[in-house]
Amino acid sequence: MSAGDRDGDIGDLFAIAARELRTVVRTPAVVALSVVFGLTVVAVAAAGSGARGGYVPLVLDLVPFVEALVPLLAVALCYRAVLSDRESGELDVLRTFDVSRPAYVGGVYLGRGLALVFVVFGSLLAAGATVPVLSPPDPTFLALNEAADSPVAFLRFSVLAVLFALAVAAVALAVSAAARTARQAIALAVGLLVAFVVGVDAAAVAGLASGNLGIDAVPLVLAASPNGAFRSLVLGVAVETGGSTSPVAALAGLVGWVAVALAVAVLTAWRPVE
Amino acid sequence: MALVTPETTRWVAAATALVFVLASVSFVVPASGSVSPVPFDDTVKTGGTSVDVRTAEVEGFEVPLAQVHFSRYRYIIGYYDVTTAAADVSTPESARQFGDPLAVFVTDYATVSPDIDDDGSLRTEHNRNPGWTKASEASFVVDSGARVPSGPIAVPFSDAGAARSFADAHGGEVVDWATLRDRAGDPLSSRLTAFESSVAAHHEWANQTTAASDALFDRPVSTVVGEDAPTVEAAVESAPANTTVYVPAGTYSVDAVELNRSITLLGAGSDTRLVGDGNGSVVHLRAEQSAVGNLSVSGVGEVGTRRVRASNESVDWDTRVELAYGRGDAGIVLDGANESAVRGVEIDTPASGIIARESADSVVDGVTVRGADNPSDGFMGVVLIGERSVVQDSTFLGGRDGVYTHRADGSVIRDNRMEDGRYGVHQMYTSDALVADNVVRGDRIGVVLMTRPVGNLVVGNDVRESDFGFMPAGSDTYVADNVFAGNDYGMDVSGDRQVYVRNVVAGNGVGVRGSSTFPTNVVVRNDIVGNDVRVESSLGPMRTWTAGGEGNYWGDLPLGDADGDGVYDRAYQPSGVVDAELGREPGALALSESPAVRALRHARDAVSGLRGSGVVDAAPRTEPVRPETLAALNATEETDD
Amino acid sequence: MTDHEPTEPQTDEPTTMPNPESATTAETASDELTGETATVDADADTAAESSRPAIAATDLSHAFGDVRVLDGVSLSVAPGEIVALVGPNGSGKSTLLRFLARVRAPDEGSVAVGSEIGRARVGYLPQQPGFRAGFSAADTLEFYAQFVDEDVDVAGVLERVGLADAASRRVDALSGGMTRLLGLGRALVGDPAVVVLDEPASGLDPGMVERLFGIVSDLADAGVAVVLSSHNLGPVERTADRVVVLDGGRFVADDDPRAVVESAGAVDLQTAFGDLVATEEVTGR
Repeated sequence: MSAGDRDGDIGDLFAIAARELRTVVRTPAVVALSVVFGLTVVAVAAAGSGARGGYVPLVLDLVPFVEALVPLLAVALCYRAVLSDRESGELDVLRTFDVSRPAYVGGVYLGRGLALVFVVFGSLLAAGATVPVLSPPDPTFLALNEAADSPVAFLRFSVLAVLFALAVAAVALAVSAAARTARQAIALAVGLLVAFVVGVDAAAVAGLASGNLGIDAVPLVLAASPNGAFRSLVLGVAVETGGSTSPVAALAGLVGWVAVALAVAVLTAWRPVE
Repeated sequence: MALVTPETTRWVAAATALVFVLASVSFVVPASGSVSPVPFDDTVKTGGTSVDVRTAEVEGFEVPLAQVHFSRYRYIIGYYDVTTAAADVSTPESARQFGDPLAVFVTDYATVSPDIDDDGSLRTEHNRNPGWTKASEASFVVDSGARVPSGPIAVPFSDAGAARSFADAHGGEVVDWATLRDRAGDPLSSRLTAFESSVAAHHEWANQTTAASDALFDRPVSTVVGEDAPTVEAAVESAPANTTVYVPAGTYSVDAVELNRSITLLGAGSDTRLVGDGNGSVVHLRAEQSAVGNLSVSGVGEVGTRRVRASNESVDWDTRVELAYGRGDAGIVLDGANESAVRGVEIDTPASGIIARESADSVVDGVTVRGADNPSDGFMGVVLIGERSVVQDSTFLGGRDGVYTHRADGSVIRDNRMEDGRYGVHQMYTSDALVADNVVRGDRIGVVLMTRPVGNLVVGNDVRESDFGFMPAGSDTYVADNVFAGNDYGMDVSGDRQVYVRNVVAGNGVGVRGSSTFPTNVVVRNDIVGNDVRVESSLGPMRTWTAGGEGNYWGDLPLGDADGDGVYDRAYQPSGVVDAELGREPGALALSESPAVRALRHARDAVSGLRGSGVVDAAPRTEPVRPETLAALNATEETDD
Repeated sequence: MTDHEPTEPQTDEPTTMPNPESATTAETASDELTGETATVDADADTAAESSRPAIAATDLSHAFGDVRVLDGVSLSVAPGEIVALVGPNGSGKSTLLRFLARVRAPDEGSVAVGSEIGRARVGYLPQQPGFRAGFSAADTLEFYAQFVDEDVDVAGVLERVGLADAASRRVDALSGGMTRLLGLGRALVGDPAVVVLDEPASGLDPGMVERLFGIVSDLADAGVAVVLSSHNLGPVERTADRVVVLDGGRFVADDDPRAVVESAGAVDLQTAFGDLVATEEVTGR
């Protein structure tokens, strides 16, 4: 017996989310990719010199890997989420149950997002936990510079990584909602991955080189891609090396990606009747 | 049903959201702890010259200090002299090594009524201890006449009014921190200038001391052994002061020749042979301006070191060493014999050659000491204890250490040759000495500085075929223009605030060993080529061996120099697992350009102060510093087959 | 870009590949037939007890590009009535059923369910029911049960569609026929007043077909309005209250099975269906 749910959209959303979560857990490819991600992150911590130096160096060691692997993981998790329901016809059937588009998209995003958050945050925390283990003991005859390194910086980095992952996941979800065929979804997902990981940076560099872009505009251009925004936030807020650029643009960039992508996903999931 | 139900999903989502709300508090909590001044003793000290610091400690005058809290270094850097801090904190090297300066604190003289004494030394009223103030809010009085031995100093005040009244009283100008930084020159070049002038001063002193000793060998002959006196002992007993006792060629069995007056014992050359009875030392110089020359000594006792009876528990270790090492058997012993000299003497000894105890301004010149075949059986070629002396143009074969110094501050050891012993030059508790242009072959260590000495100068030495080329301790050592080639280990970079320039480190098993805990040593403009391992590094954080945009020459690396400025376009990490093989294994280049290695390298370059141990050169040279020396060594960085 | 209807002719009737040309000729042919058969509202003719239709579609027209698949058809189904939609492949049956299930919107016309437009749930069995892999049959129905307001006896639903023994089997391990039955069960979750079944008997063995139509009869007996499409005209003839023949975008017949057979002068529905669409078949080929 199943208790009927009378919470309307919210109930529907969690019902969808639970199904997505269970689906993720049962998808071997995604589980394998998550394990690879976790191992890579911990391996970077263990193999690089970062963890031996403290939290901030570890953050700097991890940034390039997180920038490349988190989008991969997020896209792998989400790029077919809506599409697979459409292909199986379940999207149609769900509509006969009066599931609203926001509830459906929100549920998918929540379920997949939770899985993503577990993997990303968990892996990063595991990597961060290597710091106290690998750091050399502090000599007692010297005053420690408490300003230099702090687990707070690593925590900030982890939160930003999660935010970054959620932004890319939202974009991948929009891809899965907008794509009508698996081929379209793959092409769109790969295209976005490349654009995020390489394209926007390259465009910024090209813009600088050609003089079409002032150096002042670079933070804004970077904020336009989730990767650039994430990097700016890490360097500017988590480890406070960048200093000069305001994190607002980058933060707005990330949140904007989430909002726009989810809106696109809602609008393209299905066309409402009446 | 399964564990994942909508209800659990709700809980999990709520818990996750809560975790992130809590984690996001990290953005509100300051990532950096409090930045407040710490006791200067608890800082990692750098900058300044050793002479100033030591003199200040002894004489109790003030050296204005600075402590800098960098964003990327786990300790606090302390600077002797605020001007040095001003010059150093915003250089690219310190930014690279330590990050941005978060806070600079300087000594605050506003409340301790500072004054300048007749020597220009800064003193506080009743020797009160000054506090700290933020440099950015402080006022500095420059050109007031306040100085430390090495030069003028800026005097910081937290209160601009106090600074003005100090300037009114003593002259000078009041400037702020930014101006002080602008005025400060390159910190390294001023140090190099100071070191070079110290080297020149040492040579000059040694030249004068040697020249002064010439007169000792110009004394009129008053006594000829065999003519005026039957034995050497009788001759030195009877000879009047300021005369020469001449010992014609021949073999003389002697028993404790004692020079108790200022006389000179002069032989006809190596054919004049004084042979001891194999017990104790052979010749003793106990008077000022006494001298021995042009003869050979043998028959020395076999006791290298005499155990000091532990009659007095308060006798510390170095005193024991001093007593023990200074009381062994030697060919010639100088005991309180100031301004004395040993010249042109050949000594065969199973123990020490010459021991100079408390004999200031004495000179050992052109001596040859043949020690025991097995270093552990013999003892030192020359032992200098307690006073400043010159050891030059001498040869030390076998035995334990060529020249051993103990509290012989300021000594000059130059142009000697050491072979097949234990250490070439071995300094204990000896600061401010010059070790120049010595040649060491086949020893365990070429030059070794022990027991935290300060301000030694090690220049122009040539150590080969030894286990270790150079091994320093202490601080502020100037290591320049040496050649360390074909040793197991070329040179150690250890201790603090040492400066290594223009050394050639070639063809060693390990070129450079970095083993200092704190990244305060300067290593630039060295040629480090053809070593099996370029750099071995274990202790301490990542060190940047670049200063003022100049790095070292690591060989012909397969890296680019697009702008042709003689510096490779990217930082080189000679201790890195990949970079270490660069230019040797073709695969290393490919691997070194892989995205993962590039990413790690890029990240590592960002904050070396918090890195694990290792060495990075931010400006590796494309051309050697001393190409002709390398050519002579035939040392090139070739790809191994 | 949000509109994926244009791809539907391909997925609509996968057994054949209707090409736009023949569909166009079908439309032309249907024009000739419109005069013969007046088939707008069947209310008065049926044995419906209720005065109010459970579902009513009015003036539905739809085109995929240039191909007009529905041309102003109207259909009203009373509670407890079983309406069978028959027609050649590509005649627009699935499209019409999607409109009735309100998972697609027609270009023109409207669909009203019960008293309020667009609210009450219509149980829907798509032509190719699919399920997310990895879940059991029971899990799947439990999932859908969460979207209805009543408590759902999932085991009872499985029992009803004959899948009680397969409750714990993973949906990706079910046969085609069982998948369809599970789809039927899913359509029945929450006891909707209207059920739309697209080819429910396709792929079922004869015994299962009988069982399926038995379920449909039971539903009707319980007052549920059922609209289904099927090629199994034998059971349709025995079970359906009305047969609606869709051809060329229009209803070429709409009556109780006996009347359809009689008006065509045929011996059974199969033959009648052949006669009714023969014109199209001839002109089409």
